[in-house]
Amino acid sequence: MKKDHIQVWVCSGSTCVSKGSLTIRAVFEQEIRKHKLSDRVAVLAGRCSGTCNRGPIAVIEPGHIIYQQLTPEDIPFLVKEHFLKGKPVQRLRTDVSETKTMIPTLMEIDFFKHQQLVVLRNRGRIDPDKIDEYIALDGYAALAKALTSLSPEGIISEIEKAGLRGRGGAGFPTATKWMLCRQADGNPKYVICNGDEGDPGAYMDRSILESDPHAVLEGMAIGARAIGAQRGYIYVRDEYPLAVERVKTAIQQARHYGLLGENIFQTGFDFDVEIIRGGGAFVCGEETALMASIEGKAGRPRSRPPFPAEKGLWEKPTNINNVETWANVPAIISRGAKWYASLGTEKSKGTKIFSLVGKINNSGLVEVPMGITLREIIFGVGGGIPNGKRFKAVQTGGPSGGCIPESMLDLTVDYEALTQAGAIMGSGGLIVMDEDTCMVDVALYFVSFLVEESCGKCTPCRVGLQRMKEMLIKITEGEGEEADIERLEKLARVIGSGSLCGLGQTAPNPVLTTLKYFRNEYEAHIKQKRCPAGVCKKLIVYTIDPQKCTGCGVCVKSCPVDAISGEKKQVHVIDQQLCTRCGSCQEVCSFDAVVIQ
Amino acid sequence: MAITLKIDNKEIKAKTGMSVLEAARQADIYIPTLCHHPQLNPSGSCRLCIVEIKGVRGYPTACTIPAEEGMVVQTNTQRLRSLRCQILELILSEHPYTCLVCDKREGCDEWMGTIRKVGITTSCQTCPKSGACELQNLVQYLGIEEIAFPINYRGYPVEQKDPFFDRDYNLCILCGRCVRVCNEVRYNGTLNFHYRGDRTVVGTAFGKSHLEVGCAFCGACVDVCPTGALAGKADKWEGCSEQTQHSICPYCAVGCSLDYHLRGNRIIKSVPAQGKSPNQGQVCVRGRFAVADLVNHPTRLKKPLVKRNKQWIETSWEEALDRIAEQFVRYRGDGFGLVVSPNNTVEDAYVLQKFGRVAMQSRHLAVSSPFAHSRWVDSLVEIEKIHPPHTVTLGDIDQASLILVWGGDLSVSHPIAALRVKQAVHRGAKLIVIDPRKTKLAELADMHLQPNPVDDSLLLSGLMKLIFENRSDPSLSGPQSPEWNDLTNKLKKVNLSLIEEKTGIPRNQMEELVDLLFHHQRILILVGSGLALQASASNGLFGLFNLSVVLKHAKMVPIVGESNLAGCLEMGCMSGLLPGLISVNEESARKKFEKSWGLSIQGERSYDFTELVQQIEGGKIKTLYVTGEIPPTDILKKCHYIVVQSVFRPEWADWADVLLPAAHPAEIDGTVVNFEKRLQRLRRIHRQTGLSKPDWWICSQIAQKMGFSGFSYKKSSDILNEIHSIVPRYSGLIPSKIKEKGLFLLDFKSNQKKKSCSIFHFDVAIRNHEKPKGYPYTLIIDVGISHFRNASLIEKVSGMERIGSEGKVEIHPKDAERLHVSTGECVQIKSNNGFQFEGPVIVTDRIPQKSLYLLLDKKSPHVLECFKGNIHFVKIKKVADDSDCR
Repeated sequence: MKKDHIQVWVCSGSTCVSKGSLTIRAVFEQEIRKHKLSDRVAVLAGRCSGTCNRGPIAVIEPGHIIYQQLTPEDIPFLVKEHFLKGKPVQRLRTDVSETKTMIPTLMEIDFFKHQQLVVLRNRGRIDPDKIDEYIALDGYAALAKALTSLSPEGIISEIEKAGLRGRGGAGFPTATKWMLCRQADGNPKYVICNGDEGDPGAYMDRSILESDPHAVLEGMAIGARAIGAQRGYIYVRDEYPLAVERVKTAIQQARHYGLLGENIFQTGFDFDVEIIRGGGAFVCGEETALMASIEGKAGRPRSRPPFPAEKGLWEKPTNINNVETWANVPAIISRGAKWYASLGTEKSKGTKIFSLVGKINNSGLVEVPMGITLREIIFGVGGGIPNGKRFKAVQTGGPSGGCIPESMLDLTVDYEALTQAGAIMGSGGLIVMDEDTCMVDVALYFVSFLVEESCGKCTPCRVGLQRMKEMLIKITEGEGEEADIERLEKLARVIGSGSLCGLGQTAPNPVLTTLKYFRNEYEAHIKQKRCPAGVCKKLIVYTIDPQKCTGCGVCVKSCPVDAISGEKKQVHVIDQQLCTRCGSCQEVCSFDAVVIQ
Repeated sequence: MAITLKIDNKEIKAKTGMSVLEAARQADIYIPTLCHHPQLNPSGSCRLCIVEIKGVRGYPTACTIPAEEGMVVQTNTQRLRSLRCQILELILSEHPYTCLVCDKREGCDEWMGTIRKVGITTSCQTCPKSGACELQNLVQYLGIEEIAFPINYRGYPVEQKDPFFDRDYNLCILCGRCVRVCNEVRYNGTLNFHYRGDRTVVGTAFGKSHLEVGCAFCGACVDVCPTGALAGKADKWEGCSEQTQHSICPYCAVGCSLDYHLRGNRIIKSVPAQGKSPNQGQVCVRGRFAVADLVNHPTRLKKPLVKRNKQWIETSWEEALDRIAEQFVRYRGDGFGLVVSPNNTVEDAYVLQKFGRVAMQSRHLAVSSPFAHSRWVDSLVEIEKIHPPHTVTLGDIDQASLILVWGGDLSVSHPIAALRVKQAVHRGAKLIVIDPRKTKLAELADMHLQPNPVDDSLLLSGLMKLIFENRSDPSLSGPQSPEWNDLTNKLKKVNLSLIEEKTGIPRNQMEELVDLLFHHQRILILVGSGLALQASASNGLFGLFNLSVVLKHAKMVPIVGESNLAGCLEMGCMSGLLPGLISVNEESARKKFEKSWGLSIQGERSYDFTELVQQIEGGKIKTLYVTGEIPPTDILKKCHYIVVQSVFRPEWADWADVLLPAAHPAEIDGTVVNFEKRLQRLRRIHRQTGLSKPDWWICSQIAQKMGFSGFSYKKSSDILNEIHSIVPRYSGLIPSKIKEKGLFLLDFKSNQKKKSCSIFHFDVAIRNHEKPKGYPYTLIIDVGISHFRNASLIEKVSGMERIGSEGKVEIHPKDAERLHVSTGECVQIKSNNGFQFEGPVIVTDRIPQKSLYLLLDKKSPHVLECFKGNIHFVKIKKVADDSDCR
């Protein structure tokens, strides 16, 4: 690639690939060849920029011009207009949000305006399969610095001064963890990168591993040096094949360049990394379960103490950090603790990546400084709620987190504030819910998820969650009793206090926070046998508004159980005996005539 | 190191490494638990032992958190009690709990005294564990009277198809004790958790049966289960045990400590005694599931029977004894043969040999064990005489850094010894197995040498040569005795390439093994039946002994045989061998016995067991007194008079003249000696079945009827006292000092002269082991010990037939293919020296090609034929009509 080339970066992140970006890239290449533009324009595999709802995306550089929601049919026209006529195609650059305004360049969209990229600094800027590009942007300089001009204690001290806390959820100070492991007796020692990201809707780790795998390797190498480890493991979900491939390539290239292996930078430091692919269990994100899994055992957590720093993998001192934590390390070492500590709040330093999903205009990955408010993320970065609906709640931290209501939108995002609100930072999932969401149903969803994912070892989690799920089902089916709320609270306390690992201990959070902030919805289900959001099937009735029905018959055809009757051009009626409340009539009705009561 | 902590405001002293739970328990502070078990690693899964610790977040479990200096622990706060109750309620929500919280339960306990025998357990009243259930105790302790949840009956089918125990996982609380004991203690890997979340269930890989996955049926899982989920088939409906009594397992030479559970007068089960030597709370399938069944077996001999007109007539002891005395008087002298059972006690053995030698004036005494052949016993005695060995115990296996198992399948013959080897290997000890077969232990071994089944002396010669010649001296601890020089010279002539060729073991493997031997400081050599049954057993044993002398810090011990084989030999139940392993030829010693016993002793070694039986044919032996087991053989017909005294009737009983009912070891007091030479006490814990009597009692009654006065023993301790007073070696044995741990005979060995580091004569000659033409297979015969006093456990104990391979021929898949046989089909085997066998095959790659392996039950007639050596060259063919094949 020559410097004066125009570059077309067609996103090859998982989301865009699933939306067909590989075909788009092929068509781009074909059209560029066809118009004999090959010596001027290079078509490249781009990295995830996080604006996944806009995919498939292509970014034209220089100029940061973003084309979004591309289809193969768009490409011939685009190539002709943009590269031959020099006219960017406005139609493909329009904002997907309400405003439908045109976005001139990538960084000008709301989504990026509020972000601050530290971990995702190389996102979209380098080809993750090419170590040279990472090195060109000062990659591995931090490792060189750590190995040649810092002592292991010096590294830990930098991390301590930077105030880095674990990004896996609990926010334990990273430097303390490293120091404990460094001081622990036992050899060999291990470092592990936890990439078993399993929260529904969260994909921060995947994106980092896919777009900048070397940052993680470099961070691990620095950590290994600090701790005294010579071997590292990256535990990745097997559901992330692209991440696995990218990390594999990165390890090979790093070994080839002598950045992994023996005597790195001629300092006598040996370090190598192996990838372990997870077996698809959510609980393996828990550190002791993860280590059991690496050892070839069933992924079941064990009691701590002893903590992994003393007795971890194969009973040896082990330091385990999350992908995002590791990726922070090179930035801290190269740019200094002082700079890093200037980001964020007093107790929570740096930035945090969130995957912003749910009922939100700009869903995607966002990296924001700690201390930003939820409102800024949701309405600033995220562009608010689609279809003019009202915001209802945001669930942070995945199934172990809590639902935070509208009244608390000005809550700052840091470890302490979120915990105090009954939620957790977690690994960074933010699920936005609008007025059409039933909070009891949400609680049931998360509890059901955890029932499936509980390892089954300890009583409160294995049995308690199942009993909790049964109670919630009872409530959503209109069978709830008033005493059930108290029973739920009591049960939640047992599960939270009595469970062995973090999964069980935080499992009641969705129930507890919804009970705290949306108690009225529970009461409506129990006392009035009514689902205010119109979600719980047993409690709702679909009817056809005679005022609006035109008798078009579309709903009749869509009904899978033939519950709708009515002559053409006559008002249709739903037979409540037959209706299964699947909602397909409502979906197909163009006149909003099907209403929930 | 001692630490101090505060539990419930009480200062507690504890040791570093203890958990808070252990610290609390030793200070008599009770913390409820379900998943905890003292033998197992803590799991922290039931969550009942949660405590509050100052400065520790949340509620840690006492079983997993280490006790630390200055810790302040609360175990019983209001908050903890409430959490515990709720956790137990959650556990009970998945367990049929109605009876636990039923307000009528007191009346129920009173009026419904027996448990209901139903297929599905839905309440305590229909549960086999009721009364011994840990859930019941906890409900009572925590005072739970109401359970907030409906019962979620999981509806798993009750698993009843495997032998020995049933599994009803609807009662399982997933404490994981069974999984842990199976994997952490027994290293069987049969059980594990399956699925996750609320679908978690304990089971085997792929849901196969326990038989299919190779479960050893040791029953350890059953014994640790806190609920009725796992229950022995035989004792399931016997009700709760009312008392337990300690005794010793009657089967193999390990001599495991057992606790017998009794209800009323009936033994309902036997379980391993916790924390006691030698077995440390573990036992094998025989000790766990085959003892009670045999004691209570309906086919036991219950009354004296005499034959009149070819009919068995029940009679009184008085009459039977009179008749025997009358006959025996006529047969005094060299026509009398005595066959003692290796399951007889020390006391029985002493009285029996005294009877044979003194009352009957005969020298033909033998123990009916396949391992009591003269070449083996004589070499053992010789080693012990010249080179008094130190006691080698199961504990030495734990200490060893290298374990060499030479010959035999310990996992089958002496499973608890094999278990200790397994445990040592998992702790890091190296294991070398030398056996042609891929035994269970071989699967774990760091090195497995499979020499051609010919003669183990060959491989030993090779190894010794390598050790002597290729190593410079410093690590060798050889004395420069004539024997040493002789051996060195002989080894010089050994041709290693010839050894390689004959044994099939390449030189580099031998060198590797020798390297290992030199590298380890604590070596233990365990010798199994594979060597003990060989024709050259004596040479092999001397060879291995020499090896243990040459290698510093090496110990050697044979682990073969039945529960009291060692004791019977110690008591002189062998021709030519007096009590205390004294040779009859030792004039002064013999004189002492003659003086004490008041009669002269017939000297000179005559026959060992098989020879004795064969002598009947020639007419030399006319009368037999048998407490042991003689396989059915036509020769016995030639005997003029046979008295059988046993727990069960032999198959050839019709050729006998009198059948006397002997008491089971659970019904008598006495002592037995295991392979460690540990003298252990048997206790009478069960009334004697029918009219059965201890063997020593019957024998001494006969002697008295015959007019001999030295047999007036009132109780078994009288006999032990006599042994103590007249057998020189036992002068140090104080009968009252035999406590539960037992006494080691070698420890109080009397003032014998020690000749340190002797080397024994070892024959390095290579005999012609060429396979004769037309006999292309080598058959290895082993004799199982699933046998007790004429009862084959395989036949008498339900389930044993499904796990035992006695009477079946193992054949390699390739050979099976060649012969067109598959597992279960029948083959005929013929050797060049007249051995013949017909039986079903097991196709397995445990056995190498061109070799066959046959495990015989002791009552198989072939046992007698194979006593001269266990390796035969044979031809094999499929039997076309296999209708007769078992």
